[in-house]
Amino acid sequence: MSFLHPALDKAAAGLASLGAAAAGIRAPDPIAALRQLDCSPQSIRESARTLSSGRDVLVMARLEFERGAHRAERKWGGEPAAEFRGRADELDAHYRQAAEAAARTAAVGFDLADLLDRLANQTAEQVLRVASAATPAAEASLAGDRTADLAVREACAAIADAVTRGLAAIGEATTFLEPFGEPVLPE
Amino acid sequence: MAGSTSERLSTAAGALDRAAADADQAAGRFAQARLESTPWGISAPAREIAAQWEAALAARDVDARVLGDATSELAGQLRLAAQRHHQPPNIATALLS
Repeated sequence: MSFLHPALDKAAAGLASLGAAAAGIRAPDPIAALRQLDCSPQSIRESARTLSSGRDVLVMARLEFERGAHRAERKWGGEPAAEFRGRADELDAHYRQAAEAAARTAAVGFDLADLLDRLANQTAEQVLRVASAATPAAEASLAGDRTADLAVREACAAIADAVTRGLAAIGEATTFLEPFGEPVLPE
Repeated sequence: MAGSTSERLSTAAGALDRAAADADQAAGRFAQARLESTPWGISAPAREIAAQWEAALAARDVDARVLGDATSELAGQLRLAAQRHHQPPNIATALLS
């Protein structure tokens, strides 16, 4: 099964012989480890862009709302007018809050997509370096040279470590969206 | 003049209706931004972020719908006010004014 991220897909292709050697000696599967980091920052950016376009529509709604409210407030007095004015001011503030929350949510979405992209690219580079250095050992191990097994295991462990570091960085990002999980307006 | 106030309030109500429609359209966009696959990844922290992203999109959707509903309600109030300004005063209000 191919990977969603192109750099990780390329790295996985470069792990073919190490993966086969690992399977032969029952070492941890480096391709399965890499799959833990697989992601599609492009899809996340697309989602954030759609969210951002919704925010733009909300800003248009606020402008139309303000136009209507100003028109109504002109030369209109008495208690109903005062009541309307109070409610309109409150709603205007709510439009601003909702648009601001949407803009900030989209910005976090873009930041997270960039972070995942960076981690995937960095890990892919590290993995390819390890796989390249371990190629002779992997080939020897596949040919039955048991003295090469340790180097294969160490390469698999180095790849697992690189993935673990990437996952730890994703773990630190789980706080980024916490402030945006609830509506900002009272229902 | 009562007639012109009525007309102005009706026009304002129309603008608020358009604002409400825009707010609903924004809510639709927020719902449309939801992701069906798992582009965040399959690890535990990635799944947590995916759930938070879905919650954030749902929250933005709710905000926009709340605005749309509140704006429609206010447009309705403006229409009622416009009707009241449009009605000729009856004897009682004429005597009171």
